[in-house]
Amino acid sequence: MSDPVNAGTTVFVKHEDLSEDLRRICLGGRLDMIGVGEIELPFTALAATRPIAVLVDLTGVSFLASVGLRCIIQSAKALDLKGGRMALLVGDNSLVRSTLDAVGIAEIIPTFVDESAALDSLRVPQT
Amino acid sequence: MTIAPRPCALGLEIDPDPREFRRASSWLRAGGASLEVPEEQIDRLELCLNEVLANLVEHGGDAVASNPIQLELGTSPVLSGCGVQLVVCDRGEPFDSCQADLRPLPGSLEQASPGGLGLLLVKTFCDEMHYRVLEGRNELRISMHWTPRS
Repeated sequence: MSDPVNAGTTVFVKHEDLSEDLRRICLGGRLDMIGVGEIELPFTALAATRPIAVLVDLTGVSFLASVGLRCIIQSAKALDLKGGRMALLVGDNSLVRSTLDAVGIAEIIPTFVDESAALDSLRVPQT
Repeated sequence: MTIAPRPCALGLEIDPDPREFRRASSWLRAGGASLEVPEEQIDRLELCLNEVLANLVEHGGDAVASNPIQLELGTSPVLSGCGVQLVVCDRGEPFDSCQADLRPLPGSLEQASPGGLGLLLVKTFCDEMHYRVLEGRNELRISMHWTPRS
């Protein structure tokens, strides 16, 4: 029988610049203490060093612990201070969605099921 | 009301090290499947287990760091249906997380504090939570309930 814990442990952070001021960052795998330790630095560097719009795609995350939430919130705050903004994409990942809902993250970082709606929200100029 | 786990409950002992958390998760998922716990309850219990272990390792100090952590998983029949109970035992300083204040949900990104989220997740996801000190050990019991499909 396959072990779903170890099957989903490979963490990754990938990014794609959709335009000069819009970046998509895909996080994947198991974002527990070990997993976050592996992606925290590259994620922060990609998400929070320039005043751009950042879509963080969490559809490939198999497990999201509070340490992963902390990492995302800290990067969102740093990005906000630089004049950028962040949105989260969860798609049909119900486990991640319920974790985000439990801490009320949608109140502080816009969270979307639909990718085009997420990108549209980031393309709207900030007032 | 939750009844204590049956004597045949599954057990595991781990070192207080984040590298052991995944072994604990695998044990929990395998044990939950053998006890026929639904996937949704296993998912939530796994998150609770990780958060409790993370809090112990981060805040438990030397007493936690120098002693193994004992885990126990068993079914716990409840009046309204089925239940599963996870017991976490450690030798750290007594801390009743059931009585700890939860931070209010933030109203804005500026107000958001990244601390305290683990306990908030545990309290949100579990159906019951009990703490006691027994023979010098902290014992935290986390229960999930569900109604069996007919």
